Amino acid sequence: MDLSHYNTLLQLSVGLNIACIAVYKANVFGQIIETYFTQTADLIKERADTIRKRMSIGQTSLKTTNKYNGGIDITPRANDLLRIYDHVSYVISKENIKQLNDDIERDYTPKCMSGIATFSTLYAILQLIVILLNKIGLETDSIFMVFSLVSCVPTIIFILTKLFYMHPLYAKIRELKITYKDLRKSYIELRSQSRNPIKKIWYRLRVCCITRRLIRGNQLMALGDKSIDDKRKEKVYTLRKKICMFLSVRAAVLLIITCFILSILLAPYINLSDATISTSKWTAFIVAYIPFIIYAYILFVYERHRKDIIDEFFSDAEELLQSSEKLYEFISDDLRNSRPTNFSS
Amino acid sequence: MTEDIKLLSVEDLDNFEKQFHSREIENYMAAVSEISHSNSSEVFSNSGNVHAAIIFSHIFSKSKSIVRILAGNMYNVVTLSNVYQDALLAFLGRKDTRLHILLNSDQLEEIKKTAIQDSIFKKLQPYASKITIRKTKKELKRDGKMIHLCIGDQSMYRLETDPEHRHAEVCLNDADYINKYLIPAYEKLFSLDEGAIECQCETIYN
Repeated sequence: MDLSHYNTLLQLSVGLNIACIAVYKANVFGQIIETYFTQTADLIKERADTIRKRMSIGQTSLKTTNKYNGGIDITPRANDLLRIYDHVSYVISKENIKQLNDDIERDYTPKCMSGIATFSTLYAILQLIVILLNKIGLETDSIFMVFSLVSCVPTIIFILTKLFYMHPLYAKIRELKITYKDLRKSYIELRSQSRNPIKKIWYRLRVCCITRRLIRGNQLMALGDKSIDDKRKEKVYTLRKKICMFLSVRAAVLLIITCFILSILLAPYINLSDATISTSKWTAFIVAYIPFIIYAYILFVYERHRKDIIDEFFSDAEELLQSSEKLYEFISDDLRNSRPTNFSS
Repeated sequence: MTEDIKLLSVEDLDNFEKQFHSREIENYMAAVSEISHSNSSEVFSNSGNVHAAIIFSHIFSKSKSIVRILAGNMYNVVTLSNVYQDALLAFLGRKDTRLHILLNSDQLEEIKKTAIQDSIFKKLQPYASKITIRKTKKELKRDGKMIHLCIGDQSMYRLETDPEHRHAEVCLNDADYINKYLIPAYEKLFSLDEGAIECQCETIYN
């Protein structure tokens, strides 16, 4: 591989790194909104308004006019429906989706992700600067090679610590999913056993509430740590705290800039043979790509888990809404038949 | 009846038009179409200018023969919006369609003096033969409260119970309620015998 190909690949690396971070920062909640708005929040609110208005007109109760069960007081059912609408309106509101996204991000995103992202991006940008300097006639080969070699060390440390850090985090995510699935299963069983249609809806609502509490209640850490005994937990916490500090964005910036300055200072004193230069090219190439590959992998796994959880959360709300349609029809019958008929001018 | 005349600027109208380009509004339109398509006789609330314009345009686009409107002065962001006007003009462009408008604002003349936009009535002029416009000093009331009304054929209606905040009740498939109560009440007020005054598109605000 000659130097021109190598430069092209490095430039590509820069582009990919930056694009990857842009995608990460853009968040996924926009897609979630598109996927789950099969019912409009506005319409649900208006339905709820209709019921509330009807209930506040003065009549103390709603009575069905259905020919099979005419005259039954359906006020409690209307109240149930209002609670469901309030819940669903909240679930699919933009504010909630954003909040949910922020909560999950805060819980899941390890600081090392932003550290690695910053490190690999800065690394690629600095490499690009060296390449550009080379193109305008400055002799930068030595700086470039030394920089690549020097920055190998922090990159390897990053990778090792990241693997160490990420392992318990993945365990937590897995555990959360299992706990959530267990809870959900038990409520679904209860729901299927119940013969009362209103109770069935309430069990479904309960599933939604549990999911919301699980996700929003910042219980992820607590759930994940149940499997670790107290002493070990203490150690893990301390170590994790240190790693987080080490892997913070600020640390990454500091480290890479130090490496770069060191390379400029050291370059004139290092006499590189052709063989060293050839080896360095490959080392530099690998060093440039490894953080990116790891970062992309983390993004993939993390986003998949996040989407899975949000998916289930929203599909539950959607299911709840659909199951409440019959209840709405039931109440709608009363609403339609109780419209005032005394017009005057 | 007293109404505050709010002068509408080009910016007001532009801002109003922009509100239609959001995902929520597109979803709302889709949901309204779904209710209509399924022939559901669901009665639902409708509030706010944008939602009002969507329901009006839906009624206009689905009506086949006659649209009856009872309004204040028809000088507001809703009636001046493209969504409203396009749907109404398309309705009038169809064969054998008629439009009845009954205005009951006592401030029509002030609008003439202050309006800076072309009113809806200028745009309706080419279809004057299909339109009957009348003015009245009376109000239509339901349960003692003043209402505004829009009826599409004999199946759809939007009944505004709070014109100031544009709170309304809508049903897109209820011939029974319309034929039994709404049309008789409207026609009574629209009748010349009840004091309604005939007017033309070009002189509506005079």
